[in-house]
Amino acid sequence: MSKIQKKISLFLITILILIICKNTNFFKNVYDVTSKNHDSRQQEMYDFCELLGTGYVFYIKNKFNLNYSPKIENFKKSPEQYWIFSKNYKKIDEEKLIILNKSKNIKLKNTDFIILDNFRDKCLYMVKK
Amino acid sequence: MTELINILSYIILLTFLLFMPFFNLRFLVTKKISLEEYDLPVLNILFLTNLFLIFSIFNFTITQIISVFFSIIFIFLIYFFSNFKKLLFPKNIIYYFIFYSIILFIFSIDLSKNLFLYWDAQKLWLPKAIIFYNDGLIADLKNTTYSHYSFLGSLLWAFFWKISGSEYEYFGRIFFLAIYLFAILNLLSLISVNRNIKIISFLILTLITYDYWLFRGTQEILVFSFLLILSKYLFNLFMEDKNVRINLLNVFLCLNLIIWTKNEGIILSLIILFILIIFFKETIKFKLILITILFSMILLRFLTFKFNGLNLDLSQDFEFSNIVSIFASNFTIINLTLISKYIIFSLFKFPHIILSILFALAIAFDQRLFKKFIFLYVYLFLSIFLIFFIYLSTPHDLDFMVSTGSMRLMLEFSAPNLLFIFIFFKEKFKI
Repeated sequence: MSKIQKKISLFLITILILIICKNTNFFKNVYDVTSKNHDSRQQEMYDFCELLGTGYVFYIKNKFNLNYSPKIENFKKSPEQYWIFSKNYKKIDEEKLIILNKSKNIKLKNTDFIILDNFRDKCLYMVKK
Repeated sequence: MTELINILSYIILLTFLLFMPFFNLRFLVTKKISLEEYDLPVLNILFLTNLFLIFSIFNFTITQIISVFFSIIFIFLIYFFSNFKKLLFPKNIIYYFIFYSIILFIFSIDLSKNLFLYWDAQKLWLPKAIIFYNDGLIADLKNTTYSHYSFLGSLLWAFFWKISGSEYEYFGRIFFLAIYLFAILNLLSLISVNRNIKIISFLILTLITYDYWLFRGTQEILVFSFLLILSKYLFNLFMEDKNVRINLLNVFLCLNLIIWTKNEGIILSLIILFILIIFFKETIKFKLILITILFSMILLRFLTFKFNGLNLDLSQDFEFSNIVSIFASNFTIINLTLISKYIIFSLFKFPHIILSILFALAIAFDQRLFKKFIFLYVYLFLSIFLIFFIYLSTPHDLDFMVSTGSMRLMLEFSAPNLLFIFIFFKEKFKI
């Protein structure tokens, strides 16, 4: 391989790496990874209180500094969100309850709980009295 | 910043793991086996992943497997430094090491930013990985949804998550990236070109195939990667007379991983076996041995599930007792068009599939080449036929089933088709 060919191929390699960086938003991603913590990045990737309610569960986990998962009830069909508490997976704190995607016309019968967080009367975080 | 440093150091560790030869050249090279230098790291990683699987079958927890793993690494390091000169390193290893790490780092950053997990990943694969991560055993998987699904992907996810020392699950998924890039780089050893051209080809292939969509925690990318590694050795088996045993060993190690990664991997392994039996120029006795090996591997998978109380169904989306009548009633022009539509969508979603098909068509015009590589056309036909068969056999809403699953199936089956591109350049430019 001649010197010119070598230079051309190195130039091409650089260009291709830059294209890959651009396609994956590398520099913005580096900024985000360094400036935001894991949970807030993960929270941004999901809906807050629409289908999975993942964003809301992350929000509650961080706001109330929870290590164990509250019981999670979702009124919409979706995968269980207990994976968010992977350290203590399925060790559910029955004293706490997260309700996701409650319709406004549904009245909660359970009076043993007090509401600590209420997002538009749709997603709620409650603890036993 | 700490997370960024963790990612960087973890990537260097993973690259070392994937590039290091754990075997001495003299240990493997006998009169009958002459090993290519590129095959050593492949053999290492295939042995290691199969070893993790065997340990989990024998009810080792992830923590125990990690202890065994570190013991192997420790023994290797002593061996490495005392026998440095006897070890075989691929040519330009440092060069490939650097570019591989750079790309792995760029994609890992993409993973650590996106973090989105697909529905199936949240429902099926991550809960299994968390059970393994928390030192659960195979028997504990019976409490998970779809306990009849193969679980190797979740096991590897948990292993590499735990070994990273990080509390974040995506460190486990970085291994999926690592094995995917490794499979592409390994395939490039089929062509003899200058190292810069090889790196350019590597970058182009990753540019064409990479999409975060593949790394949302679903297992298709693992099947794709194992199948890509397998493709190289299948190609060698049919095209070369030497190294038959080592090529076969690699093919069967990959098949075992595919069987344990996804349930459709069992069907896929039968397709590969069919191709081996038809096109492999060996005695009937030898072919019978191959059939016995594969069926023993499948039997072991079902026996492990049975002994651990897991469901033995291949799929709960099908009624196997009525499959013929369901297939017959689903076999309509409307349904065939619907499936074809999603197959065409997948061609645009994954440009490497459309490229592979274009090259397959170009090669088909040359009768000599067509006959030489007919095994690849048989695979292409069988894989597309299988997709049609799977969907026409479903008793559920076909539109929903095809729209949610066909693209993923197309992706995982597409790996061997990449050989068409390589063959074209290899034959036309004699590289």
